[in-house]
Amino acid sequence: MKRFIICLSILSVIIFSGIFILNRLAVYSNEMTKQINIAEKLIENKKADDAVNQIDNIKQLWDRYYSRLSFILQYEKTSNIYSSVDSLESLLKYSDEDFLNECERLKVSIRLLYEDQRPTLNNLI
Amino acid sequence: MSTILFGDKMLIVFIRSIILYIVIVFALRLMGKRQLGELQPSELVITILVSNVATLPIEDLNIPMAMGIVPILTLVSLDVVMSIVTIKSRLMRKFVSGSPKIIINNGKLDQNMLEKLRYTADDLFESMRGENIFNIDDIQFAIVETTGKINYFLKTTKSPPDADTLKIKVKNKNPPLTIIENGKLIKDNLEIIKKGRGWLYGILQDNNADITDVFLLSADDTGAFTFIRKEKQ
Repeated sequence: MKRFIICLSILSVIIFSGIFILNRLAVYSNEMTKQINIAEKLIENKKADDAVNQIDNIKQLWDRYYSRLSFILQYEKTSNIYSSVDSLESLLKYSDEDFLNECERLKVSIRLLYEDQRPTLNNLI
Repeated sequence: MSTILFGDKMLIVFIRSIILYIVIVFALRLMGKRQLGELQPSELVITILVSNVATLPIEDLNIPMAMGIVPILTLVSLDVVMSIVTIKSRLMRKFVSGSPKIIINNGKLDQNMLEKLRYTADDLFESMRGENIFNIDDIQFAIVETTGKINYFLKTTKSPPDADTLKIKVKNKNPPLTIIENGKLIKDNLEIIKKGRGWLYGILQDNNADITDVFLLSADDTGAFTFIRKEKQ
């Protein structure tokens, strides 16, 4: 019976951890998207200096999330986003259009990070 | 694999291997001794899956450790839960493990059952030889267990006589247990044979030995013992 309780506890921990991680991913994804949207708005309003500060915020935010997500997500997925976030500042200096394109790509990658983890029928099969 | 060959991230592979080793040992202990003996179909599946899943995070460092540990613990936990459910429910047991099948009844071979189980006559004879039976006519009853092992019951005329058949009165006794192994006392076994330390030290004194001098001491509950002294290196 002791073994049965240990196993039920392990299964419960796995299920609750899975739900917790999914919830965290949703929060991280929403927060990153929100911050990227702000950066995009700033560029559209021609506030380049504020946009640079905003990119710094995005970098710091992703730095924080990256270390947490590395425990559960494949290194490739998170590091691709890492390099994409890192390239934002240089793209901003080069061209607004490239910057906005990269922002859109980043938002999709971040959304997919969350979508891929959801236990939907598509992901399961 | 190339990363391992070239020594890149070797320390990470090393630490991951240790962690997975601990997880697998814990998982197998959790599955219990039954797992280490003959495997039920579901246990065979778990064993194959666990051994495959465990190698993934070691071979591919892109895969987080959690992706190796979570499936191992999930599979093993499910197996333990299922095994307890099957103890409670005969129907579930039949569904998960199947049921034993009789292939020889009253000395008559059931060819249909043999075919249904996809056993050939060669398989049957191989199994019989493993049990020191060389003639099918000697068998009264044979059953294929859920593990795939075939157990035989010989015809009375072919069975070795036992004490009851020979009408001899004998006392049942337990087999001897190891009391000292390589200089280490096994206290639990001493308790099982219901002997005290005084009895043990008496034997050691008679043999002019200390516990550390003993390679093997086995004894049963009648007090009969076997003493083997450690050879000097």
